[in-house]
Amino acid sequence: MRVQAVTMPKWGMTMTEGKVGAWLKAVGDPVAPGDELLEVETEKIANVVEAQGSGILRRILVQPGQTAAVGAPIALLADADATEAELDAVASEAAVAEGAAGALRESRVDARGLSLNVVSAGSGEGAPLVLLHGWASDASAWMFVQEALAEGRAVHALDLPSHGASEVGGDASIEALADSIETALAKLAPGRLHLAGHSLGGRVALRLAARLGDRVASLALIAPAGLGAVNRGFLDGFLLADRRKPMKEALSLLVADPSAVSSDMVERSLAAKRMDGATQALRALADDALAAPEAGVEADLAAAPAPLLLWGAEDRVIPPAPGATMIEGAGHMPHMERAAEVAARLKAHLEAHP
Amino acid sequence: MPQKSFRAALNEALHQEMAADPRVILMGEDVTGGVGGDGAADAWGGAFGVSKGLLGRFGPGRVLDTPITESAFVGAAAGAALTGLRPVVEIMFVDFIGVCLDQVMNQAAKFRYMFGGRARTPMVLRATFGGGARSASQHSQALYPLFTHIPGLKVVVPSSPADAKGLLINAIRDDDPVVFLEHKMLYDETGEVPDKSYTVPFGEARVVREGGDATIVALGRMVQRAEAAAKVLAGEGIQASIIDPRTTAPLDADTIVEFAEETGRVVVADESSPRCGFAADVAALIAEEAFGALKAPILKVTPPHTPVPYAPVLEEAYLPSAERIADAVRRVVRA
Repeated sequence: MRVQAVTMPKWGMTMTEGKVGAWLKAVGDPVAPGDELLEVETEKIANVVEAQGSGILRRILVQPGQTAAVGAPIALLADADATEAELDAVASEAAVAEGAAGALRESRVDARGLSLNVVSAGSGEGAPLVLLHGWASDASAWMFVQEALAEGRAVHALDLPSHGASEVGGDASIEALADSIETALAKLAPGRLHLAGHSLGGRVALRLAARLGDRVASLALIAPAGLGAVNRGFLDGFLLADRRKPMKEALSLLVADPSAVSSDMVERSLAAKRMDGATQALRALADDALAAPEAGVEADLAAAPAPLLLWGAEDRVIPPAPGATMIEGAGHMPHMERAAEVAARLKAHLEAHP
Repeated sequence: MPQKSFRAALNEALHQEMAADPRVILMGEDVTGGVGGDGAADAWGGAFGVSKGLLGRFGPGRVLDTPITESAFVGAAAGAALTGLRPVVEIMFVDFIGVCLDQVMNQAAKFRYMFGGRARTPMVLRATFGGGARSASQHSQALYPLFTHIPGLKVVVPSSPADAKGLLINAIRDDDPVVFLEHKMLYDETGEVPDKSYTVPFGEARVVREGGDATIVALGRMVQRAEAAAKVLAGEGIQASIIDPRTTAPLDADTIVEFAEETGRVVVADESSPRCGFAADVAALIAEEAFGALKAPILKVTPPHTPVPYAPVLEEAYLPSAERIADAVRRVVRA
């Protein structure tokens, strides 16, 4: 691609616009995938936008302090010899596409009597990708990568049972979680599909991949449970935290850079625990599904397609397993801390297994 | 996540708790919304529309329309709580506490203490409060300091729809008398509110915003105005934290002191009268616990010590505005 528009990302269901904080590259700078391009602030979060493509930063369309709608072009990356006319053409195309881009939609799907929440992005002919988050998290954990993966396909991020906006309930075993998700998939992605899961969701994705056989086009696992012992200290810390400070401490184990734990993350985690029955459900999962997630892993790995295995190099919740691709500068949540790199690797994996 | 109004969030909390626990009952003037008025039961869902739909779903045995005698029905609620029900009793305007304060102050608040811990009074007293609706001085007061002053009462002043729902559910499940005050100008405010049932605990402040230059402590409708002030200030390069204590009893002193120490500059925005008020209480707390960290005097932004005026221009001048809050922050930052 000679010219590529960088657009305002959509971080979560409620984000409609973002404010440019500072540009970390100047016009004329060469940019490679994963380079930090700019800071964006919303009412809730501030984060760095990393480059998805490579080229020269040719134009900055939104200045620091200005806001842009989600999906709106904010900069242009291009080859050094792309003409101004080519830049103009892409800028106006991207502005026209703005309305269509960046749409996340929420829906409900029934899973054996439990109503699960689904956050979906994109559509198209490609086999859909289903994302399964980790313990005590929710679908919004994928917010920094979901859109980037939604090119030519639907990407469905589920809230696991007892998590996010899904109903509380169901048994707390890996098997029961896989049962629930498999039922949901019958409606959500009845044909071929890609599966990706993180932590507890990674173990469930692996179990599902082993069950679904040929239906699974590809499997990606990010720091999955079952390939290393889960740090019980993290689980207990989270379960016991009933105030901001202990919750902040518990969450800081998740990331390489503890300053990445925002007060919004702390409030959301406390709020999630305070849904009726949620803390008991999380405790049950910690004592059951996460107590011995390694059981059956060998058999599942043998039956499932060879997974892309990503791991934060500084993971303090589940130590990196041998053979994993290491994501530097990330803890247990590389898809949040090093979103662009993880998105690029996931995307390449999807495209290699159409 | 679904967007709901403050009113709808409260209504949902009442529906969910009444469905979950048959001991929960509702009583107050017009809570059946229209019975005896234009003849249609639940025509308008209570004076402010908060109890809409409850009569139809739970029936007149659990949704009790009372005569205009606060002294009788608030006393009845306190007694019902002692016998094991969990009444939610509504006085339309908190100003009417004048005729039933004994039932709250000398009875409900004292039962647990005077019966040696053997009595429980799981009663919620809901009431509207606050200025801005042109309701004049007998229907506009912010009387939470009055209740906060009385040991044995818990006092809740929600500022957002999500907090309103979680705090009301927590209040109904609490075994002590809780005074739950709803600012009448917030009913139509909307925000994200989960569909599921959940609690927000008492005595835990919400960190509404984080900024290193100053701390604004604000309650109820003042949170909104503090947020508006913080936006203006951010444009001037001043980053303010906003702390919403959410409950004045118990009070999250830890979080208030933590942020006072972090920024060293504090403004308290409060709609209650300035003398012996909430702002004075918070200022005293910070002066005692964080004096060494202060870089400027603590400023209070409150109404003047007068009744709430009726004339619109005067009422707006009386209420602490975003501009006044922003101005106080500028003063502590430049001090």
